[in-house]
Amino acid sequence: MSSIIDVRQLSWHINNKIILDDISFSIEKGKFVGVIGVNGSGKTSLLRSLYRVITPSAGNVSLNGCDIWQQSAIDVAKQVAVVSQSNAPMPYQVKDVVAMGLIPHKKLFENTKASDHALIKSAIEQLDLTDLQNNDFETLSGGEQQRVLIARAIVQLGYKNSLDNQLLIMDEPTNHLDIHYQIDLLKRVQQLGCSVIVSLHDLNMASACCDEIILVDNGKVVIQGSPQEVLTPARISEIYQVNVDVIEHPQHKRPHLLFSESSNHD
Amino acid sequence: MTKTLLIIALLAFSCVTSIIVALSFGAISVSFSDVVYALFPSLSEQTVDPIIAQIIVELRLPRILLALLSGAGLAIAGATLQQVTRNPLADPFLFGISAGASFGAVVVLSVLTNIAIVWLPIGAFIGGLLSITMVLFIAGRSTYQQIERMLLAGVACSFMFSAATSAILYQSDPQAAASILFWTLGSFSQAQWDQLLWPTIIIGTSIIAFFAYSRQVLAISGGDENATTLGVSVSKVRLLMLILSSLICAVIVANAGGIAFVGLLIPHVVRLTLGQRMLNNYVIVALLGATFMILIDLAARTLIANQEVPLGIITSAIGSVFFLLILKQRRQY
Repeated sequence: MSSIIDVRQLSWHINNKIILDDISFSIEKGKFVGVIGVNGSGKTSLLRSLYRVITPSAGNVSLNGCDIWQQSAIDVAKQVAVVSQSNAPMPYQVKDVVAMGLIPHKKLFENTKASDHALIKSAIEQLDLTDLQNNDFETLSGGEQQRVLIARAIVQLGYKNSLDNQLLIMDEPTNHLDIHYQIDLLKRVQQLGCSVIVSLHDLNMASACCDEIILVDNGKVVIQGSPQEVLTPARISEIYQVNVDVIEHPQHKRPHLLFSESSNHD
Repeated sequence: MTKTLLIIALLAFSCVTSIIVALSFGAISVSFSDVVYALFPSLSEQTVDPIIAQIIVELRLPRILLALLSGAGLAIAGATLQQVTRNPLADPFLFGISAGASFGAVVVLSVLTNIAIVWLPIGAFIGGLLSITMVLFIAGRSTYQQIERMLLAGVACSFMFSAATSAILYQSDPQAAASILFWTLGSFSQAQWDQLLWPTIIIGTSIIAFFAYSRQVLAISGGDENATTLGVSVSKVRLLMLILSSLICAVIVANAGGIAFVGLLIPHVVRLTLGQRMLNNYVIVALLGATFMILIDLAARTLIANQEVPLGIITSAIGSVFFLLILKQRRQY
């Protein structure tokens, strides 16, 4: 199976501070990959360098076999959609925000056609936003806003395309959501059918949802592997500086971490 | 969708009505039917008094068309700049254009006294472009903190050109100072048919370009990173929008002087009454700006008998009061 994204010796430093340090990994098409690590470990910077906002100091990132910096911003945007944390206020109707997914596909004077409206409508229906489509995006709850941005990503990636060769990148989408919406959101993303890279704080959520986990620490990739391979008590207690016990989750049989205060149980 | 079309139809109707009203009122009042017959002589058997027809077609119509173009141009430029800078105070004049244009005009009027007055618009246009070139040069092409650099450079250039203008005015004779003052306050009284060519070309092409880039501008209003992930070249689009707005402003300032507040007021009226998303609907913004400007010019001509009130005084007075009223009513905004 071919890879959706290949990262080779990626480094990024700013003002002599190394943020990303010689990172290499590949992600196979269709995988759901979680990026975990403590605050300031470089998770967000790593994701931003994958979607062409951070220009790396060294190394390269290939998307579907082509270097992202050899492609135009528009061509990358046709293959990668992003649900990030850093949006300015968008006081627009939900359907206007979803329609923004058309932007990379539209020429300067091109109108929104009937087929585009159909795509927008189906994305809105898929994320159960039909009742909210005329509401102001800014008045929605955090979970609803995330669903709108995912609907936008469906329009952006699904425009005259199947989602197989497409990538969705999400930066801590479950922040500030209660547990119902966290699970609901990640379930919906799993069902999309595209490759997904998502940074997560909740290690148990990562264990339950991800095919693969990439653990980042101090700007380096510590390990990439299945939840069983990555989430071992020794590794997690060392990196997160907490006391960890791992049990098998009764339903999905994956690792489930139990934390207690300090790490003095060596 | 139908609601939007209804708003557009309503605004188009008010715009046409305001044109006809503005054509009929003035030093000599002309009936609405004579206005229509003077514009379209083939509609009627009887001919309108040729002097009346000449007042309508040769004096009032070019003036009203210049007001229409200026209002639409300033409103759209303001709406676009407010979106690409995500700053509700962004106004074409914030970027030093009017200060630069005043400087150019003052240089023409007082330093190069021996040349003809027709050079004043050209001097103002060049002065405006000089100022915006400096702002663009300082703002640079990198996205990082580009908005801050743009705004601060604009403010700094404004002060710099104002200082130079004041220095020259201080040295010049009182008559030149008075004509400069009248000019900086704005007026369409000099409008003539042959003078409409450049404003029409520049404002027309800019508006077409604004329409073409409206999706990109909407994306930038949601954040630079947001727009980048949607494939928008943020810095390029933002600089292009600033250049186009500046051209619009420079050509308006050159032909009608400094018309304060319209580029700031109209986008806010749209935002506060119809919602921010309508800021991206340039038909609505343009129609509202054009109607407002035509009516303001009508007031400038008719408020005091036999005398012109400078436009800038009326736009600032009406604009500021209207603004405060809207803000008071919509506190929750």
